[in-house]
Amino acid sequence: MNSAEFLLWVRGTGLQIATVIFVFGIIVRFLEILSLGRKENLAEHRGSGVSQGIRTMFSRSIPIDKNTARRSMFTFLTGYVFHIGLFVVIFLLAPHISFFKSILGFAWPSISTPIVDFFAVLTMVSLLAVLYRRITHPVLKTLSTSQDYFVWLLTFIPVLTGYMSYHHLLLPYNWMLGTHILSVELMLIFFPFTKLTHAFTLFLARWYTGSLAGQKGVKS
Amino acid sequence: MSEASLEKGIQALKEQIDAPVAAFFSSCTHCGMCADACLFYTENKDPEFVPIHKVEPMRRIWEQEYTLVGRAKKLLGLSKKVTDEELQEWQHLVYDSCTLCGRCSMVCPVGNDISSMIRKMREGMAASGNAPPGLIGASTRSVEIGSPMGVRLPAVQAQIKHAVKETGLEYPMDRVGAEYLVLLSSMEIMNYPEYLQAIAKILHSAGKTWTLSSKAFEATNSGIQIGSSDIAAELVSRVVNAADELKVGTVISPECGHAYTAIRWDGPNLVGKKFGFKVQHILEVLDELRAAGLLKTEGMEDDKLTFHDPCQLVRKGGVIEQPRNLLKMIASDFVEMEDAGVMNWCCGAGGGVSANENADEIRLKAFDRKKKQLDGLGVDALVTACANCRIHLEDGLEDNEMDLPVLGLTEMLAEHLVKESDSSEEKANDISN
Amino acid sequence: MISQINITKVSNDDDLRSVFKQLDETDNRIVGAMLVDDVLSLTTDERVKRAISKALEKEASNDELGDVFKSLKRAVIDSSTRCGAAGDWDDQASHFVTRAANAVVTPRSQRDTVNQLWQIVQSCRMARSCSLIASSDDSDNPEAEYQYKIVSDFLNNKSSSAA
Repeated sequence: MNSAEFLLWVRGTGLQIATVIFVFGIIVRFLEILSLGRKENLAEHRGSGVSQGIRTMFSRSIPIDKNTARRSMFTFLTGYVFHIGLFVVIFLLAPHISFFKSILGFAWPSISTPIVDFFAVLTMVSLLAVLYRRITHPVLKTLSTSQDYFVWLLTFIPVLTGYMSYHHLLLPYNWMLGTHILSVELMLIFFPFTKLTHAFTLFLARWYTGSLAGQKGVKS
Repeated sequence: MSEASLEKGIQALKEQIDAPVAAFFSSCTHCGMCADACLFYTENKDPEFVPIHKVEPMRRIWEQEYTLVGRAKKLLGLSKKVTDEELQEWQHLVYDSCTLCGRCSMVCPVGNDISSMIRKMREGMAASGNAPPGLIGASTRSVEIGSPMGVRLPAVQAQIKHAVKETGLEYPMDRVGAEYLVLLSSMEIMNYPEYLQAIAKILHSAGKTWTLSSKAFEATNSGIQIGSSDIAAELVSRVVNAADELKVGTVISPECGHAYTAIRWDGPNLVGKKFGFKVQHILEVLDELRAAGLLKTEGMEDDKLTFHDPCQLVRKGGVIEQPRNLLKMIASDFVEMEDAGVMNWCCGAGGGVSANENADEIRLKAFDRKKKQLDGLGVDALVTACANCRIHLEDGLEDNEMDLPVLGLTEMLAEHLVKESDSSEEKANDISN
Repeated sequence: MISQINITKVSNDDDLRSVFKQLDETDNRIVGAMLVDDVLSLTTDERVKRAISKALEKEASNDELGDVFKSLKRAVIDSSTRCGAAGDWDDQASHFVTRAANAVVTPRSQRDTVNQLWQIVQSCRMARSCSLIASSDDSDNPEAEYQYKIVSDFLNNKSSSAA
């Protein structure tokens, strides 16, 4: 296989396989969760569960008070840096937007590539910081499983290979780009079977917690 | 209680996993922020105490039973089974170092209600026989005797006799049609008998009718603490039956944290039907009386006071403003501690921890968190509204050689009640000086 | 001073409170100690017995009382039943005696003296009540009457020795 065939395959068949597994997997995960159901709360409600549930879906993105933010500052900061970085890199880079346009039929403005490039570096730096903490902090050492490290790789490598493609590093461009796209596909394939599902299920989790708190009259 | 076994434990855990639990496990990213919010971790510094780790066995059951890949792995014999040894090991995490205070649930960035997961985990622990002996004892006494501490009706009647003599008031038992059914915790009956007298004085002065029940005087629910819904339901249904029989309008839960959670929020769900009566914490009742102008106090405490928020009352119970409204009636110098209100730090003794001898050292170390809140606040007294918090706070303060009295809010309010007749006016003036 | 106290017979709680308001610091302590002494048989804690015996001494110094206070504070916590543990009414009786003894030797600056003495009265009565529960005895609690007599006798002895 030469580089052109490789690139063609990852852009075609590879992408199809990955997308199907990704979508199918996410749907299955939602069904697995929702089919378990939640019993009605028969206690007399003090407040509205619905409004608090919806509110919590978004408010939980910010720590509940400044002392909590202070105590978890490292996690809070690095978490935000790489999430925002990922968002910029994935959704605001011109070639990525073209790709989305080919699927969705519409596009949106991009940000100049050098700036996205800067965000890519920020993302990788903060991901490395997160990894360092995971390897050294006693609590995270207790919690972490091989899946945590695997998912880290699944997240880090696409950013790295994208960066390397743009800067024409290591491999000839086509191979580098193909590797980048393949790494994204691998992430999509494993996504529904790892903690990456949090990207979608966190809204459910926040809703459940927020609605129960709201019924008790507590702001969560 | 039926025979415990690993199979029963695993079955219990399976039944506990609902959509919320599945969403929570799907969303946890192992970020560790829950540890930063947990006083057992922050003061004992044991990394194993990170809250989400307490439910790891349940997570594996979720994976193996309710996820595609997990079930596939199980079929192929690739999954790690939950064993009895593991559950035994987990007792230390699930009971010795957790009061179900709920701070972790408030800080989790993906919105996991971790403390509710730990409560569910206890169902599996109890059903498999892995709950601490102290709690098993308390539950057994609750079911067989009617009180976790073994308090029987004659003892309650003796305390009532004492109270009648002290206050000159009536303490009705089994009166039909009263507005309020008063419950008591064993801790109050044995250790803080002034509480009953305080309630009687206040309700009497407010012109409210009330009663005790000879069949259901106990508020403490050991079933909630050990994590057995069967036991919890049995204990709640005694109160429900009594309340229904006596046709009361409201059941009053006393100054005890987990008792409130048990009857107010878990109760109807445990017995499977809505209640035909209201449930209120004593502070909710007192605040209503205050708002209606029926709670008349006089005199102010000069001491600088602060309030410790019992976790089950405030964060888990939603009774947040009432203690403050009430304290401000009688406190001229009330200050809030750092993190006061919904995010206040648990005292460290509830949810079965104080009944569990294995947890003694951990519990006292966890008190350091409350100590840090008090350092530099410069208060003369600490006020709270939970008998268990009270005794543990006294213990911790004494352990740290801190000279700070701990006061119960209901008793304080009763002491400041405007007295009725003229001959007692002089007495009232003296007491409030 | 004793000459200002008008009643020499105490027969109810109002009388008790009137007397308490008029006691000086030393008498306050001694009366408290005498009340606890009456229920001392309900505890086996040597710390408590030593404390009361010290508190009954008219000439006891503040330092001596301070030491005794420290050991009693610990005793109060130790004797409490933990929430959820099997309760024992004899132990509770002992706990209330300890609580009362603690109130006797608490430095005056910390609490209001009349309330403190009243706490002692209540704790002693509760100790007796617990002891009755422990022996499943449902006769009336006689402690209040004992207390009236103790205080009456104290006042009478004082005025007769002053005379």
